[in-house]
Amino acid sequence: MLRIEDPLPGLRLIGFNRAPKRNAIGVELTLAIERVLLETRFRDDIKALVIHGIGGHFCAGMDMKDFFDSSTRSPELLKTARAATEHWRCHLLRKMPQTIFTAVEGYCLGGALPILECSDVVVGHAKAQFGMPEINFGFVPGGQIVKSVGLMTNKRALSYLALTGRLIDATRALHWGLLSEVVDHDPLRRAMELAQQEINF
Amino acid sequence: MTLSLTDIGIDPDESIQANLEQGVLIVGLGQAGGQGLWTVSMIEYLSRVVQRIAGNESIRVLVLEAVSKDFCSGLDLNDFAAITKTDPIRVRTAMDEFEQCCLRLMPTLEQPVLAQVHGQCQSAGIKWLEGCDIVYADHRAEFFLDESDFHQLSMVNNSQSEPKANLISTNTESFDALAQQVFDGQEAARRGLVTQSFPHDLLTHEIRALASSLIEKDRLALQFTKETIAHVGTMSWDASVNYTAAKFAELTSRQSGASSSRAIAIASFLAGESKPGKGG
Repeated sequence: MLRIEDPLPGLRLIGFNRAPKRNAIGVELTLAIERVLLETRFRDDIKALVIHGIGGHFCAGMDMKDFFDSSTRSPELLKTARAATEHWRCHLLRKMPQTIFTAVEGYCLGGALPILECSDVVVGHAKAQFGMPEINFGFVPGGQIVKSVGLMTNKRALSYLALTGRLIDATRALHWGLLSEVVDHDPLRRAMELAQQEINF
Repeated sequence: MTLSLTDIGIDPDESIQANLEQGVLIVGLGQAGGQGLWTVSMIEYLSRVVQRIAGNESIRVLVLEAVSKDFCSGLDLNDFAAITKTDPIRVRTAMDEFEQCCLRLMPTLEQPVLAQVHGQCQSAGIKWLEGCDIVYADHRAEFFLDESDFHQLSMVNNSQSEPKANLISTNTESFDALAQQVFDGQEAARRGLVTQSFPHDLLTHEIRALASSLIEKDRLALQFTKETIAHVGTMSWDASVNYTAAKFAELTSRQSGASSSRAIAIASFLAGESKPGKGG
């Protein structure tokens, strides 16, 4: 679910590794995210985190088969997974002592957006796509996601994303404050460069 | 179908046209070739339109646009002065209701409220935009934050004007208001006063396409999404989690049934027949 790498002193890579599901956050992935953040937060030797997706997409949001109407997971497990999700995206990720760099390519949807908001720097590939597609499913985007997107951007952008369900490209995501920088090469490489600079500063 | 204002419970007015087509109510202000000055009766009618369409399921989206050459070139001060002389309470009431409409009613109105702006936009026009969900502007539209107009609104209301939400609150906007700077549609989009700007020739097409796409969404989900946008910003994270749980429960309950758009959308996605996540 997660690929954790410590390629250089002070640097930890957290890679979402669920490519067949476009790295959608399912039960096991959300529990793994909470676990690695809990383990990392007190690591004084880790100065910077780089969060990225493996397999061409950053994250397609919450896994519908796990978390929504048709879930086959046990109520107890779902309760645990939901609590873990709210823990890491509403609290834990915001309090990490490390500088967070995030690299985005492919889809970055719905429940993935708070990760961008909690990041210090977000590098996006020029062909990355961003959105809140919940309305297309007849859903309401979670209040936590709406609040989080509202902290990154203005009311106009938030309303457009949430009400239309349309995806936006990296240029507009940059303009609307979701991204720090757009690159036309590997965003992970760029995020690692920036993280390295931070560590060496 | 053509809808007169009478159909939604208010009297017709020569300065406002309303047309309902497939769930989209398009309200056109002013008259062709006119200047776009908003009169007391126009202000009153706009408030009433918003109040009366609440709960009307035949109206899924409200679009405000101008028939006149400007979206709003200011208040018609001759009209305001004349009515103030004979009926000052009416003017104060109209402005107060308009402000309440823009700042409180429109953000939680079940229908998405859109606006397309061309020509000049200032004073009450700016205030209307505060209440809109999505605003498209002509690249060359002229936005003008006129301090004297704000004073006029505050004076008429006989109270402090409400803060300009999160649209017009930066130092840049304050400077522009004081220095009476004009900025165009592209700059308005950059600042977040409007959602996006387009070349003039594309503006109407784009707003119509947007309105058409919105009527395909689940009505209740749109309403709850608007309410979520309006409320969660000031909540704590834990309160927003509780709010979401309550809204999801209410939504699921009210959407229950095999024919609900939610059930259809989920079944279609899980069967691999549609990809709503791609923005469709």
